[in-house]
Amino acid sequence: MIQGVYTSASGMVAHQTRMDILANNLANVDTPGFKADLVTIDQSAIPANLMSTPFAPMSTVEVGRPGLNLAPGVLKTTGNPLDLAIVGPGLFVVETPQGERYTRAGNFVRNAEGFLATPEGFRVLGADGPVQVPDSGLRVDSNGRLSEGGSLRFVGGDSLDGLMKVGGTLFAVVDGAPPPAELPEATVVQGQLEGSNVSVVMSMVEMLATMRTYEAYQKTIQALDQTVGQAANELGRV
Amino acid sequence: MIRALFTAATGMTAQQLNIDTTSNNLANVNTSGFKKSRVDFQDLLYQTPRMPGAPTAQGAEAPTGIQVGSGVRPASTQRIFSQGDFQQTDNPLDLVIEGDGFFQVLRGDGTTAYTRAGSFRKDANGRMVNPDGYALQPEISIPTQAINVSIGTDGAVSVTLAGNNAPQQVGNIELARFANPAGLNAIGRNLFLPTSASGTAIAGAPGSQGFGTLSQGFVEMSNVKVVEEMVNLIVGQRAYEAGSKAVQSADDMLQLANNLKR
Repeated sequence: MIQGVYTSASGMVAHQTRMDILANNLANVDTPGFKADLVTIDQSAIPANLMSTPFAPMSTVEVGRPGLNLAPGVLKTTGNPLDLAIVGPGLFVVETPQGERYTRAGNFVRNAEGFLATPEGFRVLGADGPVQVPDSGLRVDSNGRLSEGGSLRFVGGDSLDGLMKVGGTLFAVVDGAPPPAELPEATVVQGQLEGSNVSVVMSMVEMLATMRTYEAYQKTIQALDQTVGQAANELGRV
Repeated sequence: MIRALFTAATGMTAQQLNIDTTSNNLANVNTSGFKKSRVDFQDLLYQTPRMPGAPTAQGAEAPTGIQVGSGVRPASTQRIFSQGDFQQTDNPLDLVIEGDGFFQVLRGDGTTAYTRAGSFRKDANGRMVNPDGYALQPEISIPTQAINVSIGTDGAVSVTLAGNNAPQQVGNIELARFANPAGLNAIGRNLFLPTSASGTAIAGAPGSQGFGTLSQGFVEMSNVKVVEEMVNLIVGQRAYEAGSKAVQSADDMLQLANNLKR
C-alpha cells in the first residue's frame, strides 16, 4: 500500500496525543504550582542501517520530548499565612509514603500534630526535618528561614531534568536519575500562592493548530485513498 | 476514544466545584462568624509513554520523556480562618473573639460544637444560648433581676442586680482552640465539629496562651470579600469555558477520524 497513508496516520495519532496534553494543561489552568507540559511534533528517527538503502522507509510523525514550561505562574495574594510561593528557581520538599517528592504548590495547611503539610497531609520538610507550625503562627522570611530557627528545604535549579510528574502537583525523581541538587536558599513570599503557568490564549491557539493539522492529515489520507481507489477501479476496468 | 475529552471534562467538573464554593461564600457574605472556603486543585496521575532517560533510536538518552496527564482533581476545600470585620450592635450578649478561638455550645444530642458566631441571648431559664438555643459551655446563667451584664476581655461575666450597685460575677466564658482549624468539619448553622485532622479541642480562658480576647457589643462579620469572590467567579467561569473548548476540539477531531471512512 501507499506509505503516505501510514505517515499521515502517525501524524493523526501524534496530534491526538498533543491534544490530550493540551487538554490536561487547560484542565489545570487553576491548579496552584502547576507547570504546563510543552508539546512538539517530531519526525521519527530512521534506523541508521536503513538510511543508505535505496528504498529507505519514510519516516513517521511522533510526539516530541515536550519537557515542561518552567515560566513562573502568576502570584496570587491570599493573605493566608500558610500559603508560600517560591520566586525564581527551587522546589519545596515533602515527605510521602513513597519517599521524598518535590512541588511548587505552596498551599500548605497545619495538620493535627502541628506540622506544615500539603492538603493531602504530606509533611513539608525543612533543612532539619519536618517543619512545625508554632502556636504563634508560621513566619518565613524572604530567604525561606523560619522565625523559630531552621529553614525550609529547597531543591532544584534552572531545570527540572531528571524529575517527572506523579500527579498531586508533585514531582518525583526518575528511576536511576540522581536526586535533585539541594538549594541552600530560595526566595519565598508568604501569604501568596503561585498559580498555574498555563496560558489560556496560547493553549487555545495550539489547540486550533492541532485540530487543523489533524484535519490536514485526514484530507491527505482521503486523497491517497481516492488515488488508490481510482487505480484499482478505473485502471483495472477492461 | 480520545483521552482529551475526559481530561477536559475533569477540568470542567473541578471548575464547577470552584463556582459552587464561591457561590456559597457569596451567599454567606452577611452571615456573622462565617469563614470562607477555598478549593485547592491538584493534577491527576500521568501516563508516561516514554520515560525520561529512555534510550532513543540513535543510542542517545531522551532528556525529558513524554508524560500525558489525565486532568485535575480538587484536593481539598480549605476553610480560611482569617478575622472577619466587627460590627457594633450594642447588644450586651453579642461577643466577638479578637484572635484565635471558638465558643463552645452544647448541641441537643449532647455533643459540643464550636462556633465563631457570638450572638448569644438568654433562654427562658436565663442561660446564654446561641440563636438555635444551644447553651454556651461552660453554662452561664444570667439572673432575671440583672439590669446590666458586662463581659470582660478575659471572659469574666458579671451582672449588676437591681438594688445592688456592686457587680457580681456569674461565670467565666471559655474558648477552645484547635491545632488545625482548617481541618474542622462544618455542619452548617455556623457550627464546626472536631475531626482527627483538626485535633482535639484545647480549652482556655480568653487572652491566655494564644487565645483571642472577647469584646462585648460587637459581632464578627463574615470574612468573605466580595471583590475577591467576584474575581474567583470570573476565573472559574473562564476556566470552565476553556475546558468546554477542549471538549469541542476533541469532538471535532473524533468526527474527522470517523469521516476517514467514506
